[in-house]
Amino acid sequence: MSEHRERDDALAPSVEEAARRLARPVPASPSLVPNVMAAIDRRGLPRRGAMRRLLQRRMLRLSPVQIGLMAASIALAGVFVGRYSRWGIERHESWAAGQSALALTATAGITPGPLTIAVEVHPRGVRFVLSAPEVRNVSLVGDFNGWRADATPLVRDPTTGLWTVDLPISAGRYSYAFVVDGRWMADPQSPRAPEDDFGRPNSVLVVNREASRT
Amino acid sequence: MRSRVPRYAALLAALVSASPGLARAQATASSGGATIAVALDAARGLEPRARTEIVAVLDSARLAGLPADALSALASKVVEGINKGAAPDRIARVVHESYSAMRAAQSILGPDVAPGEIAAGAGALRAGLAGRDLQRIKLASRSRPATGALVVATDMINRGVPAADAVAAVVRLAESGADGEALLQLQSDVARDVAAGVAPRSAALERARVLSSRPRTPSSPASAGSPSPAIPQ
Amino acid sequence: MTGAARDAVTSESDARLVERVLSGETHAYAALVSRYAAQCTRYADRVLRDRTDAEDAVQETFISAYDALAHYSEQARFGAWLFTILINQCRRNAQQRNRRERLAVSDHAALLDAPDDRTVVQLERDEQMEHVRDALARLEPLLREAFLLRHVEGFDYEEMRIMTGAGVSALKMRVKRACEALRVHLEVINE
Repeated sequence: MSEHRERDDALAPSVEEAARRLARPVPASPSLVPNVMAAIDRRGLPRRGAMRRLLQRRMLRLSPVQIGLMAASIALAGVFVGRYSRWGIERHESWAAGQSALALTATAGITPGPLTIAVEVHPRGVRFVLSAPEVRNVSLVGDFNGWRADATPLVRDPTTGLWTVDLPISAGRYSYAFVVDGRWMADPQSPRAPEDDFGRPNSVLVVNREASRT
Repeated sequence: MRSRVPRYAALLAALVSASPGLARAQATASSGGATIAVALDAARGLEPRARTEIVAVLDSARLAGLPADALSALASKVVEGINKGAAPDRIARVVHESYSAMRAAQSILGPDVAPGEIAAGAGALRAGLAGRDLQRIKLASRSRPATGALVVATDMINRGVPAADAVAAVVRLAESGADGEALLQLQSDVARDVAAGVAPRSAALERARVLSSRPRTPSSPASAGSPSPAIPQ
Repeated sequence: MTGAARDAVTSESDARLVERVLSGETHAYAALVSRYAAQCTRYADRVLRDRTDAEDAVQETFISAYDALAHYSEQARFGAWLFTILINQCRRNAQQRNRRERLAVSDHAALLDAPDDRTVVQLERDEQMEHVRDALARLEPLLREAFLLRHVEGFDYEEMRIMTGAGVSALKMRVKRACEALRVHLEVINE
């Protein structure tokens, strides 16, 4: 790529010849551009740093909306407050009670599609939230439901467009993924999963439940 | 879906009140995951050679005394492979590798393991951690489950952090008394740094240094989850 | 497509294309991908020695680069910045492949002989080229990486330092060792 290749040490003729052969053009896959464009098409705009820091909360990341990122974050905050009330659990209470949780999402492979996934662990279970207003159906598959795509559908809130499901999941480590309109995907924020055994992306959830003080 | 809430509430109430041992034994049933029986049933449709190997592995796992959650994870691998449409011999190979790694993790982590710890240890071994690395992480975690630390170390290795540095990072954090939240922060910070072009090794070591030097206070919701500032490059 | 940051399709510079993408013209990203696709594929193919793995790595690189585009600053040349991501992606892919091929660990575990289901696509039947590829394959990964970046992709040491995180003197040593190892294999062993 640099215009002027500085010659540090002269190469032996055989090595020079090898480098020349290795520099032969290698055509890219004809599906590269379409695949990349399809993948980014549903991601929206790459986010500038400041706005991203402002809006990012644990594993939650808001997908950009035409209304504006701030409007989305306000709406989202309102939804979560409402949700907590429904469950009767305040987030800071769950920490004070000694419940500890680690929701880790990591992906393998290319995962085009909605970006926003949040996993919240409460003393009574785990909540999965996905922001994907334009898809038709979303379900959760993983170790905790026998990898059945029809076992755990997420429900879309028509007001917010968020897909949600709450599951009772006991302490342990679980692989899981989402099936969105028939396509398997995990959190596209991270590029690799711990085990990519079957060629499709997985996320990992760890739930630790220490002895509750309540 | 909303009609399931009352049923969940009753089930969850039972879970919360259950003793740890009972809760673990019920891990499979309560979480809806695969049991050995479910996996064997699912494998019935596979071609004979792969099926025979899978049955043999599951049987060995049961006889070897793997705890219920590890057995469930192994059974779940079978079901996962089938539902993802993987080739039968690939499923058999993965289950066999997973079982071997779980046995190794079991022997390294010892008898006092939290739910998910053996599966996490197996994943770490398969990612390239050495047995002594598992021991270090387990020791550094003290009385806390080592599950999260193992999973975070594995994740960092998958992002290009050399194994030794991934281990050093989580051990440093664990030894500083950091909780699951800090480990999560480490994972997400490193992931973000690497995506932005920071060398993985530098990202892991620097983030661990920063996070382990934070004062340990009761978790404040305001700070939980907010991303650490970017590492100056 | 070394050197100049312009091509026949569009006369816009990399920086200008990045700016357009960030301001909402996501379709402009296709031009950036097209511009660097072949070079990235060549590097990934040489480093991973498997066409399928290489194409996977390149595709993931461009998607990751898009996600991180807001972090790109014009102080680095876009190609070098992109290569930073590609190098790390290739390292990860290589590790994943190594794990798939690795036998089970620990004294207590049964050793497995995992079948190698990788497909190696031979692009060049040229015997000499196969010889070169074989010699390259025998290098330690970091030496191979350094050699390719320096003598095939033509980056200078300062760019390589930023891309790999290693110091300039370490990189020079790696390149030197790689050249010597290649020479030995190409000239001596095959006499």
